[in-house]
Amino acid sequence: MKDDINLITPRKITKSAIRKIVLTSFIVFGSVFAITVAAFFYTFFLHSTSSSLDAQSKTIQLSISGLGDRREKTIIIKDRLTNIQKILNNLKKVESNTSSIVSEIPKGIVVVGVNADDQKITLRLSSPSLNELDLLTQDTMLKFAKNSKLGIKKIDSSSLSVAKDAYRLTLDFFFTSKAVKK
Amino acid sequence: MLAPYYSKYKQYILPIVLICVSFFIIFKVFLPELTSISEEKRTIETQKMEIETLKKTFQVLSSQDDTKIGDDLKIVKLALPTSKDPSAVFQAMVSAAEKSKVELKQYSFKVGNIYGKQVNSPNSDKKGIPFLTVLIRLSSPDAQSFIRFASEIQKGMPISEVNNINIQGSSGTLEVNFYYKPYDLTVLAKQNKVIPLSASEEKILEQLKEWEGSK
Repeated sequence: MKDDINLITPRKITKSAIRKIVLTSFIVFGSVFAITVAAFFYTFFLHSTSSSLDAQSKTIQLSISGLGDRREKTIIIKDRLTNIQKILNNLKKVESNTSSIVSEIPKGIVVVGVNADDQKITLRLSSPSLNELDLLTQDTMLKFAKNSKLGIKKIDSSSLSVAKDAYRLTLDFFFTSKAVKK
Repeated sequence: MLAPYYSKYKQYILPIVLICVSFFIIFKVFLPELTSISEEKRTIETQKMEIETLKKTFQVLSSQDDTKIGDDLKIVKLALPTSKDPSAVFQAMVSAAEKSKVELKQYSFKVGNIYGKQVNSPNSDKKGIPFLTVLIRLSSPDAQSFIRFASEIQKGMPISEVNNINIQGSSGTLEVNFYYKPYDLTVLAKQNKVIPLSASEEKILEQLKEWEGSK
């Protein structure tokens, strides 16, 4: 029934379909070819940009090589300072901690001995007055404990003895160890 | 034999060839070209960054004064010598003893290992910077003087660190590490980048100059 009312012959349908296929294949090929050519040109442009940058880099390097001595010295200064900074940032506070503690000892008390490292400071003190030593353990030690800059972890009074006409007190200060800074 | 097939399908030959050529171009030419484009772009980015670094380096170098660089180099080499320098250490001890009014009784260097298969020097701490350890024996009637000595020696050059302080009556012993660090100029010379000194580094340089000035 359908064949009866179809006015276009089968031969004509085939020709039109083939024409479409050929046209499509031309369009696909043309597009692929055009994009590839564009990519080629873009690569060429990038190549020339890269070459010009390379030339520019060489020119600056040549200018810098004229300042070779200055460059070498500047690099050494920077390297030395980086290392000095590393040392100074991580210095053990043995001297400053000892100084801070000893400077607070009242004049009536004599510092007989000190053993100090970064973990512990031991003070051996002597005084004819027991009262003065007592005041030291009461007030001054409290001041040290409150001073967070010192980083005191614990204060121990390890011994109190009498020798000749003076009292001898030994105090141990324990410090928190600090992490190494970069 | 193929003649009937050819006449039947000859219209399809051209589209098939064009599609095949298109596929060939895509896989053999276009895709490799895309890879090459992305690589080239990456290279250009690197080159641009390198040029920027070189320009900055040139600016830094050309803005500097030769006399200042010479002075700064002298100071930093005094502060952190390139090798163990016993004479500089001795000078530092004498200067600190004078300022703190203590008598320098005796000193001895801890030599450390002479031969061994260890790669790292045993005389280097967590910072990775080698040092020379010196035991200093001092004498003074005042316990505070020993602490002043420790403070003065830490403000002197070469850069040092007081490890421990032992005071017993009028005599005291200090163990001090004096730092030094050799450098490999060939490694340093390979650096393209010359960065100007940071504010903290400038501050340290000023402090070192101050210490050197108060000698």
